[in-house]
Amino acid sequence: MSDWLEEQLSQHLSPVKAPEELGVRLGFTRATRHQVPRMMVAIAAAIVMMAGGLAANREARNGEAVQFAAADQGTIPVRLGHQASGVERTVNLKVEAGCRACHTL
Amino acid sequence: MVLECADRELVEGCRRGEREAFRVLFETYKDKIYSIALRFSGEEALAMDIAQDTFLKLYSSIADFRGESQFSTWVYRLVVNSCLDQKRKSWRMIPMADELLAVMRAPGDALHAVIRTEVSERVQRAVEKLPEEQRIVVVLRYTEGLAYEEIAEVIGCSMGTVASRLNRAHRVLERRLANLKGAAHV
Repeated sequence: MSDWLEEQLSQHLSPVKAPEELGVRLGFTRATRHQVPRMMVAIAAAIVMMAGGLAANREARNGEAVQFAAADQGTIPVRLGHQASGVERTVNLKVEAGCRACHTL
Repeated sequence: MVLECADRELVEGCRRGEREAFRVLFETYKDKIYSIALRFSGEEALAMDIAQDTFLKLYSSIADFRGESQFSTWVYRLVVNSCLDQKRKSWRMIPMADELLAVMRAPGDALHAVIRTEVSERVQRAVEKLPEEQRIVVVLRYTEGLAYEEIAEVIGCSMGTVASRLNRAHRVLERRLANLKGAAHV
């Protein structure tokens, strides 16, 4: 046998390390879960919350704008703070001057 | 008794069913057993099955170990039997074309690594194609570095038979791997 073959066999048939999975299969090693850094989770949660907050805020502003536009046209009922609870009335485009004290319609 | 002190304690611990003894045994032999299984089968998934099977046999039959041979020889015998027992055949990747190999002989560190991997796979595939009785001798010799005498004890044959099988395997491998001689020296 040539030295070359001896060298190749020794080199390419060398021992290897057993994978961790073997220990898991035989119950000697616990399966390692992928650890997501807590900081990453916290940042992701913060981003989701901020996005949610922004979306909710935008929606509320849109709702207000629609409501004000409709109120300007006198088409929707607006509950005024100084009126008795449960009493609603449709306001006209010209809001009474007294209302300006507490409302910015 | 041929058994060394550490091995004897380990075996006794296993016989008493001590989990720690089993764990130490696993840690001591896992790489050896997996290496033989991988070099014999050439497939990681299959090697895992063989290694697992070997450990299960080892744990279930350790009470039968009488200490007439070295414990490691007994373990090697178990893994050899597991290797020879496996009947699963699997699809193999066709080795890379010679032309492509020639192109890759161009200089460059990255290419060296690729070529080395390719040569390694070629050697492994060539070994896999050997008849089982020659393959196991080659693996025990080159993966575990066992002497002819130890191999003979593990597989239960004479030293002459071991030498003869190795000689035949070498001739076949020399022929099959001849075209790698240039690539292997890149």
